[in-house]
Amino acid sequence: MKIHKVQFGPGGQGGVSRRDVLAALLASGAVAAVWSNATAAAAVKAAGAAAANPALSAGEAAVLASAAEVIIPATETPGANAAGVPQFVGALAAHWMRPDEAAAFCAGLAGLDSAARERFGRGFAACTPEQGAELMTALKASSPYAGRTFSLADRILDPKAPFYLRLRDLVVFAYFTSEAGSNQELRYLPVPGKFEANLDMKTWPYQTVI
Amino acid sequence: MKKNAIQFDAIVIGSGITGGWAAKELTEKGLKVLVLERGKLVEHQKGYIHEFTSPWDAPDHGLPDRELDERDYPVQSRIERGAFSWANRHYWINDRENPYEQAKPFRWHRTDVLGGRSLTWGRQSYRWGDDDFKANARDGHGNDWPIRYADLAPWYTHVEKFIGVSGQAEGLASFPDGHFLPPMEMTAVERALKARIEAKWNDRKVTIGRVANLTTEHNGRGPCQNRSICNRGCSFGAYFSSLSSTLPAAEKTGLLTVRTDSVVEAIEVDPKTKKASGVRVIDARTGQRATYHARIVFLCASTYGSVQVLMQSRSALHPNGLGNQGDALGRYLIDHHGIGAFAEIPGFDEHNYKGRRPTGIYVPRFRNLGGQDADADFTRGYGFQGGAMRDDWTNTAAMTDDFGAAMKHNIARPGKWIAFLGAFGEQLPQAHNRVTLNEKNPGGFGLPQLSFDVAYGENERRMAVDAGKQAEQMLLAAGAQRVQLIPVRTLPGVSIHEMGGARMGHDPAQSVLNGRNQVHGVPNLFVTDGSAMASAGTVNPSLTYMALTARAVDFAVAELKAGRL
Repeated sequence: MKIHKVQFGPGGQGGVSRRDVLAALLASGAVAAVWSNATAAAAVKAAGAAAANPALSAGEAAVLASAAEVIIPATETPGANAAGVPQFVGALAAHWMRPDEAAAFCAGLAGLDSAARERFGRGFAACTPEQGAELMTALKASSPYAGRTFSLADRILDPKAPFYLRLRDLVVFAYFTSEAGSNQELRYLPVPGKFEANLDMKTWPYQTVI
Repeated sequence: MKKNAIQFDAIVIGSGITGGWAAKELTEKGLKVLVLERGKLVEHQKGYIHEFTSPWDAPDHGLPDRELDERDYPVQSRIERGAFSWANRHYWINDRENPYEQAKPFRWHRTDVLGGRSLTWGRQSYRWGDDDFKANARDGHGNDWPIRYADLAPWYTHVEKFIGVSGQAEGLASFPDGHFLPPMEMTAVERALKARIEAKWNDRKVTIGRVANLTTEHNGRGPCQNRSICNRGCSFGAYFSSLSSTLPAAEKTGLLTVRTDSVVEAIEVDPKTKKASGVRVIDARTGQRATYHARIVFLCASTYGSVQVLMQSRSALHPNGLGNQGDALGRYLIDHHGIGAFAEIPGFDEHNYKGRRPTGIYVPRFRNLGGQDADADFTRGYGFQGGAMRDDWTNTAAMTDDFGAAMKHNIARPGKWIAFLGAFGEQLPQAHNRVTLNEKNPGGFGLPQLSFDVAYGENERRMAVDAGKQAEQMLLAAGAQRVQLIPVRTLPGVSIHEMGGARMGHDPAQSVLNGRNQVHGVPNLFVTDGSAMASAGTVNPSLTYMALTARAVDFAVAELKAGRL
């Protein structure tokens, strides 16, 4: 299904109309699987990335992809790359970050690359996951942050957050709002129907999200 | 717009919580009604454009559009409790085009669409107690309310039966029960909190939040699906809004005309009859002006909106604004100030829940009830809204800076159990807390800007200190090791429980409205929104506005039919 930025006004549901969605929901009385399948490529489009004007160089994009996988590796659920996280964060750098933020972000990625060459004689993207984690630990240790926020979005918006936190927080945010993260790590329940106030963690150890 | 083409029995200014109610009641009593809404058209279901948008389909996965928000929504986007978001930005007013002045820091949160803040409200629905109506007379702050609980009780019932309020009867005199749909369920920790607090204090009660969400099908509307995204709009019609409930009821009569994009400039009063004769409107799209005529007018433009219209309606007969025989118009603005407390509650790791309940818990006022508590250094009291939920990933992710597989797993699992209590404290009505028109500084549509000069005072400060202490004691009793207090609702306006400015009263020199919500000196003009409030009480006010509106319509139509209006 085609994804595009929803404008103010009617429509905006792409191929499935609201009426179809509602009809399916009301007819089944449960959550029908009528939700779109956004691929990573579509997610990039949705984020409005201008392919002609990428914020990240090819080298920086490769560092971002490797670093994202170090931050959110594939486990029994998809990792950052399978969830389309690098493309999404790259799109944010291209059109959501302010020029100074994007420059700092690119510089941070370049710095990770330099640190990798210095320590392991190869670029960050060519490092093993263990080496990547070692570099990330060092970066974290050299990134003091005095701020304190109650929500991830607040910290993402905090101009005082160092590059390590910006990278880590954007990757985490991107993953847990992605289709893979929302459905496979969290439990995306657009229409729970009822509120089950007291369930045993043994049978339901999940967070529901919308 | 055609000039004076149509005559109506009644004009309702505003389509929010009270305007919608006025339209429903007036049309159901057989009157031909024109509703004037300054904002854009939003249609039920069709207008809820992001209701079913998933996080990964949301613009930037829901990160704010900082450029747009800073340019056009610098006030609206700072709303507490996340009521402004990518999903409903189109409901809120454009701050750049509609500026206001702040003599002291003040937040004016406004929508600009049909249905108004009935689309975005918190839906908490509580009756005032009789003591709330007696408070001004008892302690001398503010003017005596011209009505008591008994005047409003049948109208509370009337409103509750229509809108559908889910809640639990508790049998408290100071916190009257209503006509309830089945209550929503408490989480394991909320139940423990309730048991432990009620065991320790016999004057305190923890009840589930009484909320205008349906727990059963009701009046043709569907039950709540426990999505808790109400402020995007709800296609199930499961919470009360003008779009889901009152306007469709009014539409059904065949007597309703709605005009959106219609900014009311002034209400004209005929110098001969002394009655409101017309409403002057600016078309928001073309700038063209028109006047509409009716036999009665209901002004329901929101607390500050209605005050602005009354002020802008100055004439030789009402040189200081309509109903402003003394100097009460624009004064005695009140709201709810507050403080927040939260704490981790250990021992419930095996408990979880599924779905998202659109209400919390409520602790009704227990301070200075029926008199002054010996240990209280402040007047009046406060109630608490709160809850106990497991922390979600957006919080747990911000509490750490880890990376890797363990972090991924930990963030995805339900977090710590956090209980929180947020006080809503009654601000005293005071003459110096006021809003005025600045004629020299035009704002939206070339109309004068409102200038707010409001501050919380010593009584509010002391009350908040006490509320923090009591919240801490209650959370400790509930099993917390350590309680954190956070400043919330410190800025006037933030609670969006805006009240006063055209208060009801016995004395035309001290108030703007009488005990029937009639403007003093303009008998066919009624104001029934938050501006009518003579004191703030401690509970969320919307249900009281609705009851006042239904009662005023009943009176107005009886007077009209008796030939007295």
